[in-house]
Amino acid sequence: MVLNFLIPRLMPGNPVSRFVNPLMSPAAQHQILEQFGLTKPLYVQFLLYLKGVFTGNFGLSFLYYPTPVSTLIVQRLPWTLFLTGTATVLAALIGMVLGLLAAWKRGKVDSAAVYSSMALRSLPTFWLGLVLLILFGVTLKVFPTSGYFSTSLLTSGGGVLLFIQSLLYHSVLPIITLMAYLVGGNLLIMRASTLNTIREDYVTTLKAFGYDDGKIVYGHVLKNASLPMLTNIGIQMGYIVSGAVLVETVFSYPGMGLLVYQAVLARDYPTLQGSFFVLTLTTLVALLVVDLLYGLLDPRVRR
Amino acid sequence: MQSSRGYTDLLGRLVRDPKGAVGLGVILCFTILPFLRPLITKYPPLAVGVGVPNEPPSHLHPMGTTSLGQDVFSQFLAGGLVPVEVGVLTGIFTSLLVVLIAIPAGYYSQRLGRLLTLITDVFLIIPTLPLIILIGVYLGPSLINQVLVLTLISWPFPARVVASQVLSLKERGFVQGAKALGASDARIMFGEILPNVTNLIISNSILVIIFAILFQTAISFLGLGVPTAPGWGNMLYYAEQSGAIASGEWWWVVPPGLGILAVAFGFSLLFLRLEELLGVEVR
Amino acid sequence: MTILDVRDLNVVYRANGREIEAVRDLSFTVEKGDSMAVVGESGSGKTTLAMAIMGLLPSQAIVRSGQILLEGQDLVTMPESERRKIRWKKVAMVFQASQNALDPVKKVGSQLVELYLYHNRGAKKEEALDRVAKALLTVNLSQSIMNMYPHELSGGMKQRAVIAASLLLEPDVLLADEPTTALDVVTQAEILLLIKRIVSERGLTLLFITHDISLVASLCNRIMVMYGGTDMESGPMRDVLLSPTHPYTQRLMEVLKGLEEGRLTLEQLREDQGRGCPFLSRCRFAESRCAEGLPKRRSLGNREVRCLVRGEG
Repeated sequence: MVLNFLIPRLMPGNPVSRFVNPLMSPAAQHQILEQFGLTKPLYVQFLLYLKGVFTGNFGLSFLYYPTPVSTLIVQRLPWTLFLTGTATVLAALIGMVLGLLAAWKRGKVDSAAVYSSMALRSLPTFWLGLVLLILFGVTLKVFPTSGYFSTSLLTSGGGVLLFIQSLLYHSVLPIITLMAYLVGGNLLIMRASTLNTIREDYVTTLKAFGYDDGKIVYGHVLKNASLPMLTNIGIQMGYIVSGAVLVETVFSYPGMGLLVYQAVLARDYPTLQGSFFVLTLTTLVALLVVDLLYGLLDPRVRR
Repeated sequence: MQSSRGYTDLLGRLVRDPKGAVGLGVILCFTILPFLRPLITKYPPLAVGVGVPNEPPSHLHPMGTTSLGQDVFSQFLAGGLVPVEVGVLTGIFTSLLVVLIAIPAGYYSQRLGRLLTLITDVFLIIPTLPLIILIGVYLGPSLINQVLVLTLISWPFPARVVASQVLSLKERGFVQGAKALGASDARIMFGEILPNVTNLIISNSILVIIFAILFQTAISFLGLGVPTAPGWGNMLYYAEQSGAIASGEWWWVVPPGLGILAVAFGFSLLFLRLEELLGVEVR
Repeated sequence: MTILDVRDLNVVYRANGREIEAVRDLSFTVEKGDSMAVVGESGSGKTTLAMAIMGLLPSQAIVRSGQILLEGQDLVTMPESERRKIRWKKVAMVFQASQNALDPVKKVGSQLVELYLYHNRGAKKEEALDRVAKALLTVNLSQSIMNMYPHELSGGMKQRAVIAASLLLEPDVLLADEPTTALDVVTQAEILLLIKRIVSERGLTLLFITHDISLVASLCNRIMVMYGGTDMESGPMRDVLLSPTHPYTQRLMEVLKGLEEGRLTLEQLREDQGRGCPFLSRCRFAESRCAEGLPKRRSLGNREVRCLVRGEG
């Protein structure tokens, strides 16, 4: 946790900014856009960048000129958060329950669980997205294939309920795709941790108390075994952004991921800088939240 | 402290269990198939117009054709080489880096070790794929660059694990003994400690390989790979670009993904078996 | 009145296709109000015995034959659902003092309250809190313990908490399995005194399992010495300790005294014969007939002994 407080201090000296800036120099030769301040010396650009960071001003996007980068981010971030947030939570819950069951029941169920999670973790996320898209979106036409809600609704003016429904419809496939990899990891960790927890002394005590299996598992084992999985979720945070890029690209879901991808292709540096910063910040916040949650659940960690 | 004879024996024990055998088998299969391709099908993977475009599977083309009239089956057979190559190379380079960095780090000081942890944490927070994309774009598309970028991203994680292991090994009897005998630091590090962390490094490198394969195909899919190299990732890129998704051309999309899945899964099985044999705590 | 009657108990562990006998042909009785010490070294089967009585044997262990009669009811053949009801209510167990005897993520108080409410459905929370407070008082723990987490307590405090838990449901029998082994000597003495007081105050029947014979001399009134999975000698505490019959008991007492008086000789070890008296390899009185089979249990005066050489008249 201490380290996590060090990293924000690293941020202003963000490797990102120093990194992206060198890209500007060769590009500056291609783009004679003085109004973007590219011709100014590097350190000035860096200072301007810093100033921009603290005031929330990331400059104007190249691609979506003349939209300010911050506007773009504000537009897209919530959607990405919705996608990734839901996927994380669902994946955690499912992984937790299945992992617990697999460890408690053992035997064939357990083996099946282990191999399936391994398979899930070997899946190329984007491919799963493509397959689901073809299967459900095109061939079976169950779910829509792009966007996050039907823009037609804007014109036809449905109610809030219809909006939510459309939103959900559009989100199902991307969320499932994003979840797949996560569930695999969660399940494995939860299973391993449950197996360890069962062997702990206090479980014997609980049995000696005369508690039935259900009470032991759901009342005590669950909480203890979930802790390592929570740590794993923290580690997953970094991956989730990558996943978001892939999933949003496949599903044409206008979120931060797609923004980054388009920005890279278009060499849209301001957008990249801004997005990178915001994404890193979000990941950091998420990690802090996980840390806090862990502290809440495990009294041994609190000071 | 393992002789080369020990390694042959290890290989034998590896394949005795179905996990190891299947895993290794799948990997080898897709690595060798590209070379056998000319024997299996007469259509070169990248040859345009050998068939009617966008055709579903037929007996002429078991996996159908692409929008440019290329034979999908042929591409599928040949497509495994690139991802596996990149993956394995990444694994090797990462291991080298880990050996060079983590062992001295763990050996020399606690502070270096903590620095390593810090670096790992930084990499944990920075979004991986965007970073890869950025560096990849900057360096330009080539297979070697892919390997480099992936190695750069991957080394902190196993490095940290190995460094902490080295730290604990440092205090053990045989190290102290070697010191007492006057062995130089380098001698101790590479003569005594290295053999003991080899197992750890090998297991971790398999994880790195899996990661590298998945990410290599991902960046190829995003169009940031090497356009001319026949890889599964590229196949999917072209599939998407030419609207195969909208047209529901599953025969183009499914096989490469299954290939990636199979190879990654193969490495996972290998990893499981290796863990059993080497009895090592990888995380 | 006999509260616990163990008859010809045989417990085996199954692993990798092999069977290992943990408890062999064990029989003994405990009268209500008695304090029986079960003394033996590790591997003698004493913990397996405790687990068998509580019904907490791991899945690899099965009771091959025999009966465990608690107030007349056979625990071995009882279905698990029945067993769970009497577990802790009739027989409570104090485990070896471990760091981890209680759930680390829950407060001590809430775990005890939970225990009370589980077995007394319909009881009010205030009643539970009251009972828990009383139990804590009995073990000399302050009420503030209730709001603390297990890792915040010292080893001795944790053990007391466990003892308090064992008293909550007012059982008739208390099973203590090496309750003081992991504690420092001072705390050890405190816990022992505590147990002694509780047992006498509440008229409990105590089964105290340990490897350390010196602990039980003043604590219990009867003793059973176990070796190799079965009983070697059992009888009234004072008599057995003052004039041990079985060679193993003799050896134990010798060692105790010898350590105090500073003279001791190393024993000769012979080969283990498999079937036959389990103590054969270390017994200085061993004769050839000792290898033929497990000696039968015989009454000798006020005790029972399994020994061919010394167990006769």
